This record gives sequence, C-alpha cells and structure tokens, in this order.
Amino acid sequence: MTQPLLEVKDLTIDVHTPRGILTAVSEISFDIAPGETVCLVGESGSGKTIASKAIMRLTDYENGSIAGGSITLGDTPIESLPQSVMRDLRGRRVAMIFQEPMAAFDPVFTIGSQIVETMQAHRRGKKSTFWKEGVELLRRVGIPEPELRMKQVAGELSGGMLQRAMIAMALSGGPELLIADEPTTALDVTIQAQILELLNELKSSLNMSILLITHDLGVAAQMADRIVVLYAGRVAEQGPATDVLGSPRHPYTIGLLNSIATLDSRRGERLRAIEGSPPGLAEMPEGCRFHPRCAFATDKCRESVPPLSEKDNNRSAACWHADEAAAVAAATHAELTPARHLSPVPDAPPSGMLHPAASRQSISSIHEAPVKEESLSGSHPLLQAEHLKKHYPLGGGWGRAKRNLRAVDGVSLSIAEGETFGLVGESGSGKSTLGRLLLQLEPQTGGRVLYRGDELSIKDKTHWRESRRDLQIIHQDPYGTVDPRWSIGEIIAEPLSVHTELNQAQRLDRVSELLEQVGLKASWQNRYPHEFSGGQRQRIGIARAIAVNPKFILADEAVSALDVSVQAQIVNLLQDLQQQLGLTSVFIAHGLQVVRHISDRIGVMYLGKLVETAPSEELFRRPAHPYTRALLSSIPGMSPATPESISVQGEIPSPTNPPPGCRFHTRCPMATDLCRNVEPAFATVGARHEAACHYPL
Amino acid sequence: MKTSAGAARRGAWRGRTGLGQAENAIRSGKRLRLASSDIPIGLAGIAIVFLVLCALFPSWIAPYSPTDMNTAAILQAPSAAHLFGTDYFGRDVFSLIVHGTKDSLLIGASSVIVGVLIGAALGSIAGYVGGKLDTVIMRVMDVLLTVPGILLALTIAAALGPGLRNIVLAIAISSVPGYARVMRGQIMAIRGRGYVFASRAIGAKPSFILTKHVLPNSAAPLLVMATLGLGSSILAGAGLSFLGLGVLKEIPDWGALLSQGRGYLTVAWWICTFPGLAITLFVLSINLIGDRWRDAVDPKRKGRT
Repeated sequence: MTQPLLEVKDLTIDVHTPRGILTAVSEISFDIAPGETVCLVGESGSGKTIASKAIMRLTDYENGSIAGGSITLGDTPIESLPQSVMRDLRGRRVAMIFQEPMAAFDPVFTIGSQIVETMQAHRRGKKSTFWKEGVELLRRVGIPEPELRMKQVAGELSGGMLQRAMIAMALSGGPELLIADEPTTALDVTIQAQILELLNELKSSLNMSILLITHDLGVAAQMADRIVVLYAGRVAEQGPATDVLGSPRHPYTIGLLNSIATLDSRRGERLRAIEGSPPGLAEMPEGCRFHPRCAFATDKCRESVPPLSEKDNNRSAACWHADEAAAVAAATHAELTPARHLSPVPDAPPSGMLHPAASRQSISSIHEAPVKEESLSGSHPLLQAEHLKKHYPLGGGWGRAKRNLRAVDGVSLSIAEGETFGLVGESGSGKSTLGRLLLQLEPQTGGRVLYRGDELSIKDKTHWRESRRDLQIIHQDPYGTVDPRWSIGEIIAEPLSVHTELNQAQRLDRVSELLEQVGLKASWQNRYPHEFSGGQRQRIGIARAIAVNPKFILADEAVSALDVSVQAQIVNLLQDLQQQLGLTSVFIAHGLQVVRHISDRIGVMYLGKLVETAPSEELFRRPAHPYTRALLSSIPGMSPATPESISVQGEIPSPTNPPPGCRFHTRCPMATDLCRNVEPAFATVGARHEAACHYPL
Repeated sequence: MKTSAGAARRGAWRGRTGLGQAENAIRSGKRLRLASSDIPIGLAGIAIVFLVLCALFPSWIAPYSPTDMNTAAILQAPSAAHLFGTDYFGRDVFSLIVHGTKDSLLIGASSVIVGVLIGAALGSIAGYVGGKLDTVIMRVMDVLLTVPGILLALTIAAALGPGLRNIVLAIAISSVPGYARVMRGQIMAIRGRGYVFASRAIGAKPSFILTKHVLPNSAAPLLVMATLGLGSSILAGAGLSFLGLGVLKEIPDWGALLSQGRGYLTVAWWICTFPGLAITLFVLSINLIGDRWRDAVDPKRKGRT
C-alpha cells in the first residue's frame, strides 16, 4: 500500500460545554491515499463534521480539543502543531468547503477580493496577478463570465455558483486534500449532480484527495473510493465503497441501506427503518453504541465496546456479530432477482430487524397497492385546481419597476379520493406555494380550487374554517410549527378544541389514542416539544394533523429535515395512516425516491408550471418531459432509470422573468425554435400520463 | 501488535477522561451551582419582603415617628441611636425611609401596571391588526416618544394637578410608547412563527390565536422591561415630587427625600445616600427576581437542564 496522504489514528475529540466535557468522537481511525476519495457517512450527531474540522484543527476554536490519537498529513503530525503553523497548512495543503456557501462568503466583500485574500495569505505576489489567477480559477470550476463574477458579492450569485466559487477559492492554494463538508446538501438535485461531477473531474485532473462528508448514501456511492461509516462518534464500518455498500457487515450500515427508498423498492411496501434515533452526546449507551437500535444485540454488546476488527481486503467493522449480520444480509441478498443498484435490500426482511409494527403491515400493503391504483381511476376528484395562479408583487417604488414573482402560473390538476399525489421540482418551482393554494392558506391571484366539486376560497371565512376539519397539513419544520409553551398534549388537542365539542376528559382520551397511533407513549402528553427528537416531533405534527379525522393531508417536505433512518420510520407511519384512515394526500418533497415510494401519481413542477403528471411507476420508467428525465438522471448514486440520461446545465431561471415559450428551453438539450417561441400544451401522452412538451420522449 | 497498542492507549485515555469528569463534577457540581446562583435570589427575596413589610406596617419597623423633630440632634451622622443619621430637622432618616416606602412602591408599581396594560394593548393591536391602524397608533407613539419621558410626565402632572392618582397617571402615560413599541415588535415576530401559521391552518379563529399563541409568547420581554420600568417609575415619581407635583404630605417618599437632601450633600451625605440605596436595593432585587421568573416560565429551561 502506498504511503497515505492523511492518517487519522485513534482520534478522540472532547467538546467543552457548560454541562461539562462531552466526547464527540472516540478513537476513530482512517486514512486517505493520494488521489483517493473517502466518504465519511453518518447521521446527525455521528461526529463526522467535528472529525473533519479536527483535521483542519478548527475544533480549537469551537470549544473542542483533541484529547487523544494522532492526525498525520504526509509526514507532519497535525494534532499538536501550534495554530501559527497550522495557519500556513490551511488552504495550502488542506482546504475545506462547507454546506452553506451563502454563509461561508463574507457578504460585503466581492468574491474576487476574498479569493485574492486567500492567495495573499500564502504567497507573495502582485494583486493583479492574483486577480487574473482568480478569474482563471472561476473559469476552471465552470462559472460563466468569471471576470464579472469576481466583482460581485455573495448575494448576487446563486447557491450553485457560490459553491463553485467556494471550490475555486479552495483550489487557490493548490491543496493536496480537499475536505468537503456536505457540499451539496443545501443545493437542488440537478445542481448537486453538477457539483459532484465537478469535484470528480477536479480530483482526477489535479490528483487531489477528497474527504467528503455526507449523510446521503447515494452521494457516497457515486463519489467514494472508500467509505467510513460513523455512528455516535465511533467508526461502525469501513472499507472500499463497493464492498461496504454491496455487502455491509455492520448492522447499522445494513439498516441504513435498508431504510432508503431506492428506485427499485416496491411502492407501497414498507421501508425497513431502524428503530429509535441516534443518541445525543450526553447520553451515549454503554458498550456498542448501536445496541439499543440493533436486532443482533446481545449482552456482550451491552457490556463491551466491539473493536474495529480488520477483515480481508482492507475492510473492518466494529461489531461482535459482524459475520452473523453479514450472513443474514447476504442470504437475503441472494434471493434478489436483478441486483439493486445501490443497496442489497432484501425482499424478505431479515428476521428481527424490524419494528414489530412493521411486519404486521408490510404484507397487506404490498398486495393492496395495485388494487388501489385500479380503483382510483374511477373515483371522484376530491380536490381540483383550475388554472391556479399566484403572483407575488415585488419591488416597486424608488424608481424601480414593479415586477411579479410568478410562483404558480396556471396549474390545473385533479386529485382523486384516496389518492396520494406527489409533487416534485427544484426550489423555486412553486411546489410549496401550490400546496398552500390547494388548501387555500393564501388567496390565489387567478383560477380556483374545488373541494368535492364546490369552490373553496379563503375569502368565504365560515365555510373556509369548517373546511379545515377535512383539510390538514403536516409541516416541514416539526419544531417551529408547535408552540414551545404548549405541552404536546395541548398541541395535539388544538384541532380538537377548535373543531369539536369534546370535553376535557374526552380530549385526553383522544390525545392518548393519537399518541399511540403515531408510535409515541400516551403518558408523554405533559412533556414539551423541546424534549423530543426530530423524528418524534414530526410524529407529534402528524398526530395533530390526523386528530380530527381529516379527509385530506398536505405533507409539505414532511420528511426532508430528518435523518435517513428516521425518515424511513416517518414514511412508514404516513403510509400506514393513509391506509388506515383512507386519506387523500399531496406529498411535497425534493427527494425523488421518497416521493416515488409513497405516491400513486406524481406531478413535476418547473417554474410555476406543471410539466408532467403520471402514475409513479410510469413516470420513473418512461418520463416524457426532458426535465423529468433530467431530474431522474441527477439522483446521485443510482444508475439512471432510463438508458438515455439527460444532464441539465445551468440553473432554474428567476420566476420574476420566466423564459418565453417552453420555460425549460433554456436548459433543455433538445430545445428548438418552436420551444423558444410557443408554449407547449399540457397534453396526454399515455394512460393517465400528461406532459407539456412539444417533443415528448 | 497494532490492536494491543490501541488498547493500551485506549485504557490510558479512558483513565484521563474519568479524571476529567470527576474534576468537572467537583467544579460545577449540583450543590455548588445551586448555591452560587440561588444566594442572590434569596437575598433579593428577603429584601423585597422587607420592603413590602415596610410599606404595610411602617410603624412596626421604624424606631421613631417620621414627624418627630429632634432639634437637639440635627444633621447627625449615622450612629447606634440613628442608624442612618438625622436630617436638617432632626428627623431619623431610617424612619423616614421606612415610612416613605409605601408611597414609593405604590407610585412605582401602579404606574408600571397602568403603563404596561395600555402599552401592551396598543402595541398588540398595532402589531396584530397592522395596516392603517398600526400606522396611526405608532405615529402617535412616535410623537409621544419625541418628548422626553420626564418632561411628558411633568406636563401631564402639571395639567392634572398634584396628587397620587395624577402622578401615577402621568408616569404611566409617559412610559406607554416604550411598552407599545416593544410589544408591537414582539407580536409581529411571533405572528410570523410557524406555530401561528399551523394554528391558522388548523382553522383556529384569530382571537384564539392571539390569546393562546401570540400573547403568551410575546409577553416575556415586556415582563423584563416592566421590572426595569419599576425602578425608573420610582425615580420619575421622585422627580415630580421634587418639583412639587408629587404627593404633598408631611411624610416624603424616597424621591422627595433624595431631592430634599441634595442641598446638604457636602455636609450630610447620609440624607441622600440612604434613600438612594433603598431605591437601588429595590430595583436590583426586582430585576434579579424578574430574570429568574422569566427563565422559570421559559419551557425550554424546564425539564432537562
């Protein structure tokens, strides 16, 4: 084996908090060879970010300290270098890019001056030379008009552009190692694909090593040579990417892989979620930290910490029962017909790995799915939108022209009773606004909404308020949407007190029932929202939404903010409830696989317009609109669903000034003059399949 | 080989963390933490109880009558007989302070209550309803704010004439714009919160949302502001008393006492100093307790610490 570029050995990091010293990362070891991409994969609280910051020795500035172990870069031991020496290494040998490019740039200085500043920190030279170099770097990372961009400030660039500029800045010192901390998490999926491609290209042409931190196994699958899976501050498993993803040996890795919805997982089938949630820093379990959530846990796991034992082929897993776990995973893997692209998800769940409720539900749901689809086509529309428009007036005054932000610009659709309608699109496509308009949470600029055939309007107050009983919403931010002064019992009872005449005792009963229905304990009613984890809070939000037995639920990015393993639990819960209560729902999300998993039919939005609707399977198998195909192609880590994948360049244009003709023509590889001038009609291209394209695929 | 070295290091390392935790437990242990933050609160509580007792039963606590003039002992420095000394009439300063407590607290507390009620109401209406009403209310508040508070109170008190009720009203009105502004800002911030949107989406009526979500969540900064206001109201009352617009009685309140002693500051420091300390003690105690109260009603600090 070649001399590693970076060697991290038994690294332990303490964080000093007002509550005392907490150990964020315990004895983690990994190394990175020159030109290699290593992915640190883990959920929130796994210590992946703090470990990466320790390599830069940035932890010193955040109440952290390296309490043990070593970090060696080339021949230099980093862990005890004084900060004055570290400063010279940072940017020159190791550079870092962050999750929020918006926040990482100083908003008052130009991009150019910040890049030049970085260069000046390490080299002597004329400012004008550095400026020219900066322009070249921006050009190198694919930023159009680099001379102009150099003179702009962060607020004038889009998120994708800023992340590119960030990469350019990181490259300015010619680093040997680039640390990328969730570089694409804040970006849209099409932009994410572009950035990942750029990173891969830079890596091979500059022979740079990359340490990529991510929670997204898809990203890891696409980028990594080797993967290090972290759980609760310890390495759970590490090894070559194909091995870790193809034949995982740690129950946590197996569980993570099982809990993501892949393009091949059967719709309506339950996801195999890992029970519980990752532990907080202050309450680390004894022994193996995964044991409370592990199906293989024995007394040995509860008592002693499993060492990271090396297996052949440079792989290791920290589990007492790794062989057993790997065997179960492999056995079920063998039953699989065509191998899944990403995960070896078994069709039959490995025994004991499920939440007890899971097995009860899974079988019935698989059989129900196709039947449901048949019956849907004949049922009545519950909610209809007719030419819905929402324009937000912007600016005006002070000599500036008044403009309209066309968030939703003429959308018609019909949602059948019992149907789950998925809504996808990049940010700025208007999907959330459309959701709010459907529920009439804000007045539309044009068009109308029909509920069971009658017009629903926010202006008809009495009728509107009554309709809230039937139309409920699950919000994206489960914490911000509950009153912090209310106990969760009061929160869940709020719709009851608004819409029903139940007395105190009856309300208590109903709340207990609801809490149990969403998988929480009835005795928790007197607790406050801050005492719960993200997943539990979302369960509270769901309980509130279903409290008055609504007919329709809007789930607006309801699972987007949650950890992967928790996300699966919530998706399962939503599916169960939909079946039990016969709900109709609109499910808005940017995670395409999740939407596909949960929805009967999917609508794709682009710049305020619906560009395609089709049954889920159909949409993924035969996307008719180039934009849909581009979205599918940009899902990381998946071999594309269709043979011809489309990659889109550029970014979504501003909704204040949408392009004429087909709104997608600026980014469409197939655009013609017709597309540039004439807006395509929303036409049928197949059974229950419509698309707005002149040349449907 | 590799693993044994790792294990050794791990062992050594664990020993160190254990030590760190033990040290930490000693340094910020529960008993110690309780003591360091609860002593001032306890003292503040005792001070307030004492001052309230002074207000209710002054003659039980004061050793002399406040109207007793001992011409044989004028301008005497603090001594065993006269704890805080005597003034230019030979009155016992300690007894004067004790007897002045009632009016001082009354002016302070009632003007704050009246001011907060009016200010919060106006601010809530302006913030929640918005639009033209907001503009009208807040421009009137702006106009009032352009006049210095004490001058405004002075004008009002002069127009209404002297007397306890009028002085309270004058101070209350002069403090209204400040409370209204803070309340309006709070209401507007809370109105945009997710849980208000959620409540609206549930179908709750605006009055329900205002009373159950918006007001309870907006109140905290106003409470803190009100406790601080208590101190400045007492001072404002003192100022008005000094100018002859206050409570004209033979028993001066703290403010009047302070003003009266001002002329003797060079020869008899105690006449001014002790009423001043009384005001400070009261304001400080109220602030400490107000702070703790705010923390106690904050659900984020309840439960786990």
